[in-house]
Amino acid sequence: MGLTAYAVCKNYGETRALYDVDLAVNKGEFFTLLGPSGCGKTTLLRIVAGLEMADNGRIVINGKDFTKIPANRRPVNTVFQSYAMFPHLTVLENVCFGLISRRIPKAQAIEKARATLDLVRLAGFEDRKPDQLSGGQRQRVALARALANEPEILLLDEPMSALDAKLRVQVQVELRQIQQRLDKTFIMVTHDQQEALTVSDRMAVMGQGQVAQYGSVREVYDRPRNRFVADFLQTQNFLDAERVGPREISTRLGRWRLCEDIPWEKGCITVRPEKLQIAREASACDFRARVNTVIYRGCYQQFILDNGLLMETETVLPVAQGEELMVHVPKDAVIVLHEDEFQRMDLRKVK
Amino acid sequence: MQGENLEHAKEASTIILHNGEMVRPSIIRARQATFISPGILAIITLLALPCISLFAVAFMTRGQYGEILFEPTFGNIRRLLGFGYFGWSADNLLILWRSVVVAFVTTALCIVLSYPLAFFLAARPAKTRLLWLTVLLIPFWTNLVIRTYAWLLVFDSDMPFARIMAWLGLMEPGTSAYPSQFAVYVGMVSVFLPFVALPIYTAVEKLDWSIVEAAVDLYSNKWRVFRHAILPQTLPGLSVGITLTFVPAMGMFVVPDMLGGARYMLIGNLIQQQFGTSRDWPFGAALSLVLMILTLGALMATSGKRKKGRA
Amino acid sequence: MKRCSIGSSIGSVAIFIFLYLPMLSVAVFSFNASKMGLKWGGFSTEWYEKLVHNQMILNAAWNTLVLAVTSTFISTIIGTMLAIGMFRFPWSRRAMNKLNVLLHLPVVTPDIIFAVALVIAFSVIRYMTGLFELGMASMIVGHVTFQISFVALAVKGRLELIGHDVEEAACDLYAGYWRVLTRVLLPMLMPGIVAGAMLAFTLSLDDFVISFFTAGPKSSTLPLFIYASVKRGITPEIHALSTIIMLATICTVAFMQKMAPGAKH
Repeated sequence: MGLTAYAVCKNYGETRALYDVDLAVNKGEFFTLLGPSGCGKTTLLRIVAGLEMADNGRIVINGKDFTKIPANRRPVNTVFQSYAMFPHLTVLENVCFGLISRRIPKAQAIEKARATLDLVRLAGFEDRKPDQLSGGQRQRVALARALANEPEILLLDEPMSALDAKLRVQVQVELRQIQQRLDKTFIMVTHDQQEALTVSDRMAVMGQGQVAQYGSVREVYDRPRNRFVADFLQTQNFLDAERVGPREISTRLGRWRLCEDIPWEKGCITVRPEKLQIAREASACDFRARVNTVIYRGCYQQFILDNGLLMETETVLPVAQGEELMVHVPKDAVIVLHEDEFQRMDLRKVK
Repeated sequence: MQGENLEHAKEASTIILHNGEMVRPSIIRARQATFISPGILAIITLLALPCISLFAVAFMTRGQYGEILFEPTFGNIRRLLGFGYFGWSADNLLILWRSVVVAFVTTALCIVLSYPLAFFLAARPAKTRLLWLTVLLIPFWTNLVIRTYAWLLVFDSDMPFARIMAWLGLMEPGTSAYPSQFAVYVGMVSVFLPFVALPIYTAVEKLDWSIVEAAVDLYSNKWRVFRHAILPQTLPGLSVGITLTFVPAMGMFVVPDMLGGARYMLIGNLIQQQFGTSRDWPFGAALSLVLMILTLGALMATSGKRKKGRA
Repeated sequence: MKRCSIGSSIGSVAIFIFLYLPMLSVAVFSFNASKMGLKWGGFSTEWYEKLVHNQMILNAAWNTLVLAVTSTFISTIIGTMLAIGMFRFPWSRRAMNKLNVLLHLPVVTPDIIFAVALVIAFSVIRYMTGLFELGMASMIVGHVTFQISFVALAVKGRLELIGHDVEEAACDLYAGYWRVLTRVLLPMLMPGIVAGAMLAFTLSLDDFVISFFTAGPKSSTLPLFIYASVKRGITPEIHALSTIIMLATICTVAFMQKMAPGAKH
């Protein structure tokens, strides 16, 4: 096991930042903590880094308890959101900093630093100062500075928030490649679901100081467990439903058959807009709806239907505003949401 | 938040986190004490405690040879109020009053002169503005004694100023323009002008001109534009300028000493006398105490104004 | 809208003349050949030559420099420590308020009261220990006391620009406290420390009142010397000396403006 966190709690005065968080990250995987701002993801990362102390709970890295060990003796390095470059040091000196701190001989440290700069494709920039670098380059220096120490776990705190959208996509891919080449454990914090999906093996969606769901990226994306996660991952279409059979529900749009068991009598389901299909024949039609608005998005098209649902089609169809559509809801498209209590509980206040 | 952290640590756990380090609170306490103690100790022992001791010294007696005798007395206060060996005289009170008036008038004159200067500086193109500011800063940094001394030279009987004055019949021919109240004011204003001009300039530079334009539109009268559009916006700079001028002007002793002579003494000169030639520390302490209270009052008045100005 | 009227332009030029005229007169008369009075007697550099041979003036100049350099050196160290101690450590609100009052005390105290306080403190120390005659040492201590706050405030300005993330990053990179302090915080504070030191240096050169009260019989500085000489009457030699000091001031101010654009006040 790469990292295990047990029952981590953290309060800031009256405000609850983390509540009984358990987390297990496998060795060599790219793990992402995803969540809206203020959900405690950064706090959790900082607790793992040793930059913050948990009020309760334990942090175990590769089988060893590091809860009471300070940041400068943890085999963990961080890429800070602000990059936190040392502005008075050159790129090379920045990357060497951790190695020199650990009293690694200078020649050896420089060699290691150069190799790491090569890895992030920054060879030739050794003697520049941070303020002579672009945002993307600075980000890679921050990455190299952390990686040069060969940490057991690399922590990345919103590493791409300062980059522009175009660069971000490129960096995401690069980051993934570096992680796979080094076969190290990476833990990243982000609020951007696209970023999380692109780079990670597994992820945890956090909300209100708790882990709302965690599992492989696909699992979480395809089967959000509760309203909070579904909302955050933007499944868009929510419907109240009632159980009418073991695998059948009734909504205001009609009776639908599902392919999973329904754990409640009354609850909520969600359907992603891109899963809804236009039915070719009447027998496949699950509901009829008029198109209120057609939104052209370039590579896809969105319809806002008169029953409030949002629908997406990959191919651009000649559908006009006001036209009535027959919509098919595939069996496996419907996501049954579980505990809704997560949303209702107010965890922010202590006691 | 950090402070709370430390307070919290007393009960919660024995280890706290400080900038990424996990240490015992006692270590943090030891470190912060080490960092501040040389500076804070110096300020306490050499400035704060002696200032407080003025309260005591002011009520002691001067010995025959200028030493301090630990005999409590109100003599110094009585003397300050004018009750001397030869009956009551207004001399000391007059000096006190004059100090306040001189400080007040100096400050007012500096403010009047500072506004055009600040607007002039703010209107300079960005390229030459730093140069103009440097030109204003040079007198600011030039030694007080030298600047006052330079006025002695200008006011000398052989120089054009005294000659013109004599020609106009405002002065006796062949005399210098100092010592005089006029010379003291000229010296004071030239010394303190940069102290007022610089903060006002900073405020004028940040001025929101759209408000001024609106005011020109609405009021059209120059004074009303200044009163309603410019003054409120420059108030923070103005109050800094007033503090920087009024307080030291009250205690000033170099300028009145060199340009005013014995007839235009201010409280600063009187204090200097007690600690210098007269060797009457208790009386000097009483005078210092008065100056300190005046200073405190002035500081409180201006800081109150500043808070109001911000709101 | 016109932002600077002709009236205020003329007024400002007049104010600049008002500020510079006396200093210029001194500079002009320092080249006057006539020994007595202020009648122009031809151009001469005689007074400057006399200056460099006047042992008293050379002594005073040396004292001024020693005083400024030593006090700046000490106050820069103490002031920087004070700023770090106050603004990089957790303090309760109450303690912080008290410390802030103490920090600003030397800035707001009028010179003369500061001087009186020092005189009292020194005499108490002398009374208790029998040591510490007024002289160079007491002047240095006096200057350090008022410089500390200015250095600390300059460093504080810089400290506020440095986030805690840099220290955390250093810590994350295995640095212990000492290494964080010397390799990260202090180098990053350097511009503020230099600005503070320059401020302290100029304040020391500029000071008269505190030196006047705390000087001993043998430790005259240039301002003290000029003051004493003026009491005896104006001499061309003093013109020359003042001119040199003014030139030095101009150079220092120009240098400071060059070194720290935007970092002042």
